[in-house]
Amino acid sequence: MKKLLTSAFLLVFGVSVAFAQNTDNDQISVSVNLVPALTITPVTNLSYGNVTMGSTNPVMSATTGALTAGSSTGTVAAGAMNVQGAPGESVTIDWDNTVNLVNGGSTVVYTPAVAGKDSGASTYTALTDGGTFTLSGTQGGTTAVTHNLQIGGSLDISGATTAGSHTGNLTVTVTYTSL
Amino acid sequence: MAHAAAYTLPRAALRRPLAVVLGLLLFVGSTSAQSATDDATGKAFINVIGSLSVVAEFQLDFGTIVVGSANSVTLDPNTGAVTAGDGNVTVGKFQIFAADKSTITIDYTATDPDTNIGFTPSVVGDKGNNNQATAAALNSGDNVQTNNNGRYRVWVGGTLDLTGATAGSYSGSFTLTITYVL
Repeated sequence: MKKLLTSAFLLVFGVSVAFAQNTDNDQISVSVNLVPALTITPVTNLSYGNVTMGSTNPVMSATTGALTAGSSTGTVAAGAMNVQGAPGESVTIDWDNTVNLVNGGSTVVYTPAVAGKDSGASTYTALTDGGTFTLSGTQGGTTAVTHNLQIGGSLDISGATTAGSHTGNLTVTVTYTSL
Repeated sequence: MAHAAAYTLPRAALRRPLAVVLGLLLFVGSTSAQSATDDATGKAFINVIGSLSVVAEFQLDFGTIVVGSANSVTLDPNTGAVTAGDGNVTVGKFQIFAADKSTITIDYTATDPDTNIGFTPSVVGDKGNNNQATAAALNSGDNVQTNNNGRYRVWVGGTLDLTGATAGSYSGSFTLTITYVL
């Protein structure tokens, strides 16, 4: 009988253990992807050099940086800016429609043109005001990449009444399209 | 007589505990009971409850956020609405399987994705799989009751403190522990 009792209690104990688990747990990940902020930095000021009053209005190609109309002496240089941001992200670009370059009461009207390329690429592609471009690389990357902007455009010198340096400032704005 | 008395007392003493043991064994199997005395009677009860388990269904994802665009980001566990970033987010979710209409305790802990990114969970729960929008807030240690099928759901959102965070992909964890209230 002692043996029977012993066996019986062992069985009962075994059943008790089988149903003893009354707790459980599981885990999920908590993730976030932080991408670099979008920045734009001026690199080179735009210069049309010396243009003769009353001559043909000069036009500078944004894609090549060369004058395609009019003539000039002195330093001619396309403007340049660098955009840095998250790889693979779409960027919306805006700029002023026109900028007045002034010298006292004399005004030259500048109409910008902007082109862009991935850093390291050889050729620029024309951009449109309010349009978009995509930064190089794979979306989700966390190391900033650079997109080069080249800036040209046309001048209307018909309103210039005074010889001398006419200057103004062009503002270019970039914004992540979907972030 | 002394000998007879000594023989009888153990039999009488054995009858009650043996009856208890046999009663218990009825729930396990009847083969051992055949060798017991035929006059044993008694009752015993075992409350066999359903197995308890929790299964992670969705990982919590705050999506992509531009560094410096927000000092914090909050993901609502009820609606999935997020206060910053690209909106490609996922509310975390657990499914709990337990006995029908049983009471369980919900406990949870979380680890920060980074030393510069603090995570404060926001947790809601409900019996119904489609009741995320109206699920009630849960604090760690709260007791809840499963539905008629022994199910309960938990959704997880929360807030990330992004002050001082730099660009990168970060991951922390959220652990849900459930325990029967017996």
